[in-house]
Amino acid sequence: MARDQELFDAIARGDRKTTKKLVTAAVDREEDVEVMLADSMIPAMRHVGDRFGRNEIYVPEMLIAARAMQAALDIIEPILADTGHEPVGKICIGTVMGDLHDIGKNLVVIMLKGAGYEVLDLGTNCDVKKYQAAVDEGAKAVCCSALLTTTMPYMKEVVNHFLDHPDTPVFIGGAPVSQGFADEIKADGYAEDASKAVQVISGTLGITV
Amino acid sequence: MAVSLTSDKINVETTAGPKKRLLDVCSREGLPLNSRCGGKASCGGCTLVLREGEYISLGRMISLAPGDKERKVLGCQTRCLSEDALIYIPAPSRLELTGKIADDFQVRAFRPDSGTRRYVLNVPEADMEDQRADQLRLEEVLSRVAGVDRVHFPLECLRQLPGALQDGGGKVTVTLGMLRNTPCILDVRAGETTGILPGVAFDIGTTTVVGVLVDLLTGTVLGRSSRYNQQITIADDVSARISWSTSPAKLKRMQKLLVEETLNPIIGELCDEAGIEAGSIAHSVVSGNTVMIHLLLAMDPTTIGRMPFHPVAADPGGFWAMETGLDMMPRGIVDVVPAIAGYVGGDIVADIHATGIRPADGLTLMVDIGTNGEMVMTDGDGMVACATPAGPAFEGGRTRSGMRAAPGAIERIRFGRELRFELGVIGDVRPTGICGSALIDFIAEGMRCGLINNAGRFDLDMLRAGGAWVGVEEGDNQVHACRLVPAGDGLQEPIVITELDMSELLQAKSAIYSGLKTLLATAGRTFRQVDRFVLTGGFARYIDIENGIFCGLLPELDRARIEVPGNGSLAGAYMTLMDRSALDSMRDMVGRTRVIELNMAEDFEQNFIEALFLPNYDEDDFPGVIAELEQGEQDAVVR
Repeated sequence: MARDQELFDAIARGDRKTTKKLVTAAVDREEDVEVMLADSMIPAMRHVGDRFGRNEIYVPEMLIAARAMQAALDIIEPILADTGHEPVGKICIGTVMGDLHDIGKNLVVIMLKGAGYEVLDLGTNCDVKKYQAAVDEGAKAVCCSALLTTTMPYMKEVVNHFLDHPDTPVFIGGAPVSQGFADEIKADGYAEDASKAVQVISGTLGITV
Repeated sequence: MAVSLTSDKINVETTAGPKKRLLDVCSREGLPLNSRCGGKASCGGCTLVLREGEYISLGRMISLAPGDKERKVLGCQTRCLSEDALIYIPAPSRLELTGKIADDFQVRAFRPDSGTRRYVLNVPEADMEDQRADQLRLEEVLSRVAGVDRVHFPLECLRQLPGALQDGGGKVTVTLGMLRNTPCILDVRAGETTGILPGVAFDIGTTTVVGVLVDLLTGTVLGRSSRYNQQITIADDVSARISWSTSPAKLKRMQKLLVEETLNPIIGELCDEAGIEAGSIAHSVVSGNTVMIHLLLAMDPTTIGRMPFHPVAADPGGFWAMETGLDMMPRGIVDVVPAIAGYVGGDIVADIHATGIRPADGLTLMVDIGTNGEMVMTDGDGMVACATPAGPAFEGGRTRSGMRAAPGAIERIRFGRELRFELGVIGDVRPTGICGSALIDFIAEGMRCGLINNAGRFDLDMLRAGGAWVGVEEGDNQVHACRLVPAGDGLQEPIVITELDMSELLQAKSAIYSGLKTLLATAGRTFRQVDRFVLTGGFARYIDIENGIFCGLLPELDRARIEVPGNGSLAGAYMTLMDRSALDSMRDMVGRTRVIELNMAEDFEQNFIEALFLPNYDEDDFPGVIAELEQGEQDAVVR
């Protein structure tokens, strides 16, 4: 199946209603959802990310597109799970202990899913144990987010914990976080926005998306 | 040459020794920078432009000869190494220390009954018939005159007593106050004291502190004074102040900045103008957010900064002035308006008290539009409160040409399709930047004429046709911007509004609107059912309500239901000074208020995303605005 242009456009412009309708119809027709994901949905999110990277769209349009993507994923994820779909990699992500602001983190989740990753979304207020449990479940990287300057210091504890696990890189992000802070606490990577997060993570893991 | 700091119209040669952080050097030279994050390299507020000299920044050497391309760095991460250097401070990096500040307020009608009174007593002399203590003889007269028994008589006042009785020949003036519901003697003086009995009400904001001097006998406001909360020289938002106050010494420093460099100078100014002694001030009431109150009392605010966001004390109670360091009568009383929670402070409690919103009034919403938008809803029984982090864009933060509402700030903008900008500027000076109210005007006007689309992006053809387009470097990218004032004539950079600036403002307005919408939804209600909508806080008085609605910051309501009473936090503090039952009714109200965490409310994220659009992705919320926009499009086609 080639790209479903109608679905691609609906996701890219954030039209959740049309997206749902098209995906539901495709599922009803028993189309191969894995192909639909690979040929239409992932390219749509990549297109959105690229435009964001070029400053052609901003956070609102990206969030609204991500929301349409999420609606599509909600429909096909159970089917993908049944068919033994192979993601490009498995990653865990959560807002660090003390912080429950997760809109930015949720966007990164969808951008990662939109790039073909399986994402263990640990939610908010995650301590080191929670991240470790996700790594034990097979996560190849740990992503930490914080909105408050008061919760940022916990990122250092996560980085320190995973110092003994050189194969598990720790990435950090969030509004008050900077490359300088990432260097200071020796995080493996930092991205200033959700679109760059996918590039940074994929680059470090050596995954082509 | 020496190390020279230049900004628009300002040129300072610093004598600070080498290798000091430029952030500190600028502060020392009276040019403090906007270091919101407390110097942690994360906010970008202290950006400086290096033109000549040698520096070390984030571990890298920078050497600039005359004529080299200038470099942008963070003042908190850069030290100057050379004897000679030339550094430019962009206007948005400057922290303005004078400002236009809202100190007007309205209070609802109430019956003044100050708990602070003054009595002139004739205390009979002791003799062999009456060998009782001076204290007992005074208390007996006080009981008869004031009807007050069992009064607390502090040691300092006992020490004042014999001298006052002797000098006054038995006639003394006693000031009586209430500390934690206990009547206390605050002061004993010889003879009869007449004239006013001064008290001070304070609104301690994160950015601005306002005080009013009040005659406690009559309720007359005798003077007003305000200044920036001097803690902003260290960090300019609540979260950054919590992060900074990590040790007892730093906490003391924060307290000192607030008490000795902000509140006491306000008291001094009020007293000078009124011609009274600070030592005669008998009562003060302070209202402020929970973090400000912690810093005022040097209580550790750390736990407010992270889940579950609880304070050390929400209702720390009243104190002797001497415990707080305030310049007053040593045994004067300082009362603190109780808070509801770590992020829902006494300022909103004072707002509620001053505006008199009650569950019986029907569905009422109140919001304090500011960096940490606190909001309250009442709907028949009890109240529900929450806070939404809007960020500093309303106050000029995180925007290219943004500044606080100080002289030189553009505060009003009007224009049409031809992009001929009519600018209203604070003070009779040339504009140097834009404050939040003008950003709201700009977006609303841009929507009306088609310059700005529903995602906050420019119609580039219109922008170019109007001759206002400029490309502005932000990071590695160029972003589109609208030029309002060209550079030149002392202005080093043009005053612009970029698409990124609009994106910042969209996030701020979305936080407020979606917070309100989500709060209503928790009670199964919508904006259309709102009977009373109260906008408090200094900023609310400066925004154009129609433009606030047009861009989707405020809900589209019948305008008659919208009230803008001014600084309710100050009004509530004033009422507490003048009404001894106020604290108890506030405590009662706090006890009936439930706090919700918006980030855990189901619809908040969706509401937030939708409110990021202009006026909103959910067009059903703004039928009037949508109709006007459609009419405008038709008119444009006809033309």
